[in-house]
Amino acid sequence: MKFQYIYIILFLSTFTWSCSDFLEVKPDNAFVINEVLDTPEDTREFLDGAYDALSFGSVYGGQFSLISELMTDGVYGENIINGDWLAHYTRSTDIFLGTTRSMFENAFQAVGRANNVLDQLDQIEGFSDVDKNYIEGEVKFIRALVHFDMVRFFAQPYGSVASNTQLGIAIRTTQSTDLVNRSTVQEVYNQIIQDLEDASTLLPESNSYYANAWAAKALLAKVYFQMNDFENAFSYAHDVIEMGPFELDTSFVNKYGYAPSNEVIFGLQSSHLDFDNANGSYRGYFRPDPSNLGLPQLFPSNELVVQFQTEPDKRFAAWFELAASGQFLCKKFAYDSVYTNPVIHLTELHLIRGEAALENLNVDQARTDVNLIKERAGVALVAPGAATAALFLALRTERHKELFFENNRMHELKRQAVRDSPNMTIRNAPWNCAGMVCQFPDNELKGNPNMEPNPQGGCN
Amino acid sequence: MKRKNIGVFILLFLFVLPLSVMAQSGTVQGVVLDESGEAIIGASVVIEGTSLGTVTEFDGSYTIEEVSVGEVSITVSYVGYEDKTQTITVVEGESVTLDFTIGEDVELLNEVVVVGYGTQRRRDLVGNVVKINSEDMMEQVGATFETGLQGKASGVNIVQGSGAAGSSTVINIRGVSSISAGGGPLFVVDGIIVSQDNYLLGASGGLNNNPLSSLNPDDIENIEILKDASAAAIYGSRAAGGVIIITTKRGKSGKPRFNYTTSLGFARPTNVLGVLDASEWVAVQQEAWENSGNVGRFPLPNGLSYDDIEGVNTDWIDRVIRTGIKQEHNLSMRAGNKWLSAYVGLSYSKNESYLLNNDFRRTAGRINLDITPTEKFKISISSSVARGLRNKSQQAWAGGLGLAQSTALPIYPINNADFPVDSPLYNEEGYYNIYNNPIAQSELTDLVTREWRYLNNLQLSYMPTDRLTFTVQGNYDFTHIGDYTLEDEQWTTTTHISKASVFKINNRGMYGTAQYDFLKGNETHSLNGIVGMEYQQYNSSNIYAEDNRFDGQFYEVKEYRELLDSLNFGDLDGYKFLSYFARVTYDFKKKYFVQAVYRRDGSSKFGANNRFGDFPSIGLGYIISEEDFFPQNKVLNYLKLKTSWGVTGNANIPWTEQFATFAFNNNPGTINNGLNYNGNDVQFQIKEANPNLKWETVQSYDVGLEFGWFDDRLTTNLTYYYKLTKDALLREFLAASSGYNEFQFFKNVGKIRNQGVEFELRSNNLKGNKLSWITEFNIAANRNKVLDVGNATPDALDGGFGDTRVIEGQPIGVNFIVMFSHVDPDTGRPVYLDADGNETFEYNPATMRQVAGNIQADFIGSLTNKFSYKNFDFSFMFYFSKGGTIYDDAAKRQLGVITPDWNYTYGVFDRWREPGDIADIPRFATSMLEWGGSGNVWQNNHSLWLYDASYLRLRNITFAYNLKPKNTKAFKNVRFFASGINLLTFTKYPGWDPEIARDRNQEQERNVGGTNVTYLTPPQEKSFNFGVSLDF
Repeated sequence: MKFQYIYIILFLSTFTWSCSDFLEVKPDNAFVINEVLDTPEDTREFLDGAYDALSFGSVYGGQFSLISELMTDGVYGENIINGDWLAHYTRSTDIFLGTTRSMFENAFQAVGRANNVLDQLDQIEGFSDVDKNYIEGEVKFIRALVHFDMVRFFAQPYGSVASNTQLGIAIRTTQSTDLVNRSTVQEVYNQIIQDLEDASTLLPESNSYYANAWAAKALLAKVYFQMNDFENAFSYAHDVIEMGPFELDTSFVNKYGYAPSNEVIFGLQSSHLDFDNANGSYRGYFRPDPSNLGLPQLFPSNELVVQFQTEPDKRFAAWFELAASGQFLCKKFAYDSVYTNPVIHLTELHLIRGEAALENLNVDQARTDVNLIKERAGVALVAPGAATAALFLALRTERHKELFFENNRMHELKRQAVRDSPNMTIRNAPWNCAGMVCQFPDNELKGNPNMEPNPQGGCN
Repeated sequence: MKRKNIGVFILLFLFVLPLSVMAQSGTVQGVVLDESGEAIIGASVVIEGTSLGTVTEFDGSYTIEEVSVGEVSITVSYVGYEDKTQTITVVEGESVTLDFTIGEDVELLNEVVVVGYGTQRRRDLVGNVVKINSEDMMEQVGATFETGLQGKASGVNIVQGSGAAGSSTVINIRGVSSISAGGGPLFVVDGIIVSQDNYLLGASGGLNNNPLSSLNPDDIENIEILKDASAAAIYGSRAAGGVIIITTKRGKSGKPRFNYTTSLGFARPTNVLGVLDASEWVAVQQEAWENSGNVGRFPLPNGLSYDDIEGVNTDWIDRVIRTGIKQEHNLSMRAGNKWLSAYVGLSYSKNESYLLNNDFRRTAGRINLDITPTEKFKISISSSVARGLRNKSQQAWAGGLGLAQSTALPIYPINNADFPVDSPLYNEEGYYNIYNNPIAQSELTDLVTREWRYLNNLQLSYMPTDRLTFTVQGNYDFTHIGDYTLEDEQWTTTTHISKASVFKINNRGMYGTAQYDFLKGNETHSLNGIVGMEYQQYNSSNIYAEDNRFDGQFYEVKEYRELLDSLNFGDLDGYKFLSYFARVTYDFKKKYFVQAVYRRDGSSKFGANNRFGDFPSIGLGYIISEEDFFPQNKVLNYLKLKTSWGVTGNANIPWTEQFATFAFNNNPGTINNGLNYNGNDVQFQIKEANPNLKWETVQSYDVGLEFGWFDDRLTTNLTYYYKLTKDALLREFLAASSGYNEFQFFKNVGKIRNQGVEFELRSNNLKGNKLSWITEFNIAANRNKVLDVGNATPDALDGGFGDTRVIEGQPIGVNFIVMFSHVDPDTGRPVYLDADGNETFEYNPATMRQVAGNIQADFIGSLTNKFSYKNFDFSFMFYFSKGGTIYDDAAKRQLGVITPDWNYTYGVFDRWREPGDIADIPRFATSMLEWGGSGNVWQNNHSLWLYDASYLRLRNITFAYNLKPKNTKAFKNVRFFASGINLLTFTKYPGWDPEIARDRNQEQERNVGGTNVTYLTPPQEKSFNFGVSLDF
């Protein structure tokens, strides 16, 4: 009997080998963050990851512009049937849209990736304090930019409620798995301004094609203008125009192309080596390769085209083309893969400064700015002594014409409505009906039982 | 015999199978008859204490030569009959005669049951194990064996994959006990825990890969289903969904015996749904167009003019459905002598579905050898190789039948040449509108899955004493599977493209056990123990290749096949398991039984803080009828009470879940298009780590009663079980604004309860010499309730497309949709119910969705009757499923808002037309806005598309005739058979077929929405099969 027990023990011991490491296997891409984000080079690559996300088709690579036009009056096309686009077009978005899902996903990937760098910054060796400031500045610029656009798409505009206590979006200043509820629009704008003010002092004046101090100030001008805070809008726009290194291009398409442009204050770059997501959506939506069947998914609307047809306008030839089908095509954006996605350029700052100046009763500055744009376009200038109303009209018309398909139209109409047109309708819908704000997508709602969706409907 | 020569002997035996030489021997011969004097064919006759034996011939006779002289005991056994042992004295050089008459065995309780790392007698079982012999399931087996299990075991819910050939089956044992981790059972084939990934190829071709399809059903001897924790706990962390143990056929002593079985079958869909023809389609569109306030004729899609479509009326469904032809050939051999026994099986089957260009072919071979060089030592080899070839439709639902009933409009011709000659579109060449043309798709694209599967094991057993057995088994389970696509240049509009996506899976394992009988020879007490250790290592690697240089599939062109094989498949590590286990069984007077099982499992899948888990179980059995106080009576002759408690686990989640992962360019210096900004490499974090990740555990309680009535002519079982899943693995969802690339991550947060009752009945209604009649019936009810999901919202735990969700307090897989109330008689608009139950015209899924039904049946079961009259056999089985709801996810397009890009089913005719109409379908409209919703017609999900899922189906009907040739030695038996599968279905469901398993992309989708949700899913097939089986 004992003999047999020895058998068993012997058997088990030969079968049981040292196995403490046996279960230690991990995939090739599994790390602890400090193992992969620990040098200045890694930091640059992690930050570039954030810029890459910004350039996605669903973010600044086209879809922001697309939604802004679909929900207002800039486009038409046979492709606006059935699917997500029709929901935007009819101002009836719901929680199950692919468009809004990808907007939330990719836009906040940029924020998360940037925040991740900031969260780890103290652990990374090899940086001077100045270097660290630059990194922190870029992170804050990126997250301010995304918060600004997302709160404009997913909440009633700033000023639509005097207290600005309407719900905005979740503020993300760190990458984490924590549940974060929606803040008010006021709180979101406070965060944006805080981040941009920090960024404008942290960032250098020149920073390759990444965000620099001018970009932060230009964005501040844009943010204040959206808030109808004309004093601040004027002063930041003025600062960038007067003190910054930027000049208006003579070409109308340089700023969207790969050729160097003096006008771009911040854009998302595509290298000529690169066929990444950047601008792919612009190409598909507005400007496909003519050799590949030719027609875009969307055409500039008649309302838009007629703006350019009231008088001879150099921009008309530069930006439009009559297709064989009799439809006008937009050719603002080159059809090959090489260009810059416009985010902020000097033209917009002149239009901001001009209108802010006019609001501040600085009529001459307003006329100077609008005429600068008009002169380049070869259209009739605003004469000295023109009525204020005429100047407003001129500035807003130039903005409409210059910034079409650049994620301007919807936000600008809402700003105007808040400012002076409470009865505005946008393609027959009240500017502040519930559906004029995009519904939150399920991928933002479903992780958090306390995340409140937007109201829907009311526009049709 | 010297032990060191074993190896030489093994080799020798392999080549010289029938040779054996013994001195001092004689011969025994005789016949084996049943009680009525009929010869018994194929009974096993064995000399006790040796492995010498044979099986009886067609006339019941047997001859055993070279039997040692002296007194020997000879035992005859035959399935369904009682064993009988007689003794005789063998005289050297002479032939002695010993005849047997054996009686039918009514005592199924002596049946041997495989229980995991060992066997037990049914009488001794305390766990809940169902044994299914292959002959009981072969009649209803389709292309793959698991379809044969449907209805055979109570509480085992088997939903066949769709009618597409080779699609995978959804199996749930005693309800769904997991939400995000795999809900199906563990499969063990001859001791190998096989790899079983249904999602390897995603849902390509509209079906999930079915790894089990590489098993030849004809090679299977029997299948055991371990249902409760007492039985399954020996498999520990992987047993929470139950265990299905498959045992393949092995050699039998005797001369080589061959079987050849062939069959021919014809498949059609169980049902064909009507869709609109061209004129109906135009009328429906026109009505909607005018309803929406438009005038004139509605504009045709694709720029077609009314002249162009004049005379065009394509019946696409008719064009994509055919009569599928099924062929099967099986050849097997079983033989054995004292030292070696062998089973060899070869099979080929070609299984066409009713879908155009969709078939599944399998070529399989198996060799099982058992070598016994000495009485103390045994070597068993089980080795199989199978090749599967699946021709798929380009998504069964999109490219095949699905397209034919949706975006392939009846006004579209198949070819451009089918337009009227004066149409500007008339053109003698080419298909029209290829992407919405299933015929063009099937011609211009070729989707093939090729699979090689090797299942091998080597088992060594050594019995140093008669009480002790050591067993070591090494397993190697290798899969090479590839999805190949060839797209014609017309399809891609550039060049033809060949694509290959190939996986290699190495699944290696090894276990060793020591089994000890403590009290051998003790009549009152019996105590047995087994201890063991096991490890398993699973690796998979894959490669994707695309090429346009040659016109053919990758595997068809030699140099590209070689190129593909030479490519580096990557060196992906997979997961590992390390386990220790023990089982102790004790009984007292064969009346009281105790079994304790313990397994400790470690897995690399889980976080450093929770790497090992413990899985104990204990079971008790009590045969009350053995007690003296139990009244001896003719009515109730057997009564056994069984109860068990145990913990099993579920580790079936992707193996990388515990880690924080990052994306970066693996080849610095090159441009990685997905990972760069302006030409610069980028990096980012994909997800966070979860070092606390661990098994989900299921605590199970089981109480069962087994009854034998009228001398066991009627047996019934009644079981109640209760299963509580704790630390359930949930794929929690992070808000998109968290900024990660993966929003879903596994956390142990949930709690789920399943409880149910199972009842089984088997009755020998008639037991005559010529006529016999057996009835089998089983029914099971399971109640499932989700008790806790932490912070998860319904949408976080979704079942994929089809709007099923998980909600606390509800069963897994509720239909979470807007409630449709009725069609407003005045306006024809749909009336919905808001969250408070008030009627409204508004449709808003953000605030109005409610629980409208659930995918789980209330009860399932089957009724089987088997008749045998002289040489004729006749059997049929009805399968039923009662309760639950089917959500038709395509109805929103086939019955919903009318747009000129889809076709519609006949249901649309029951629509509202004028004020006062009471209709099922609201007024036709061209936009979902008119139905209260958004501009998106896909967001039209409500309870109007929800149906009762109950059905009753004639699952199988079989006729057979056994020609028992008495005058020829060529064949021992010839069996002709004809069977019909799924011939009749009774259901209120108006769609294609009520038995629905949808193609899914991961386990959660399958648990929450894998069944009873359809999106153009091809219906089950019905088939007629004719065949013959020859024994020789």
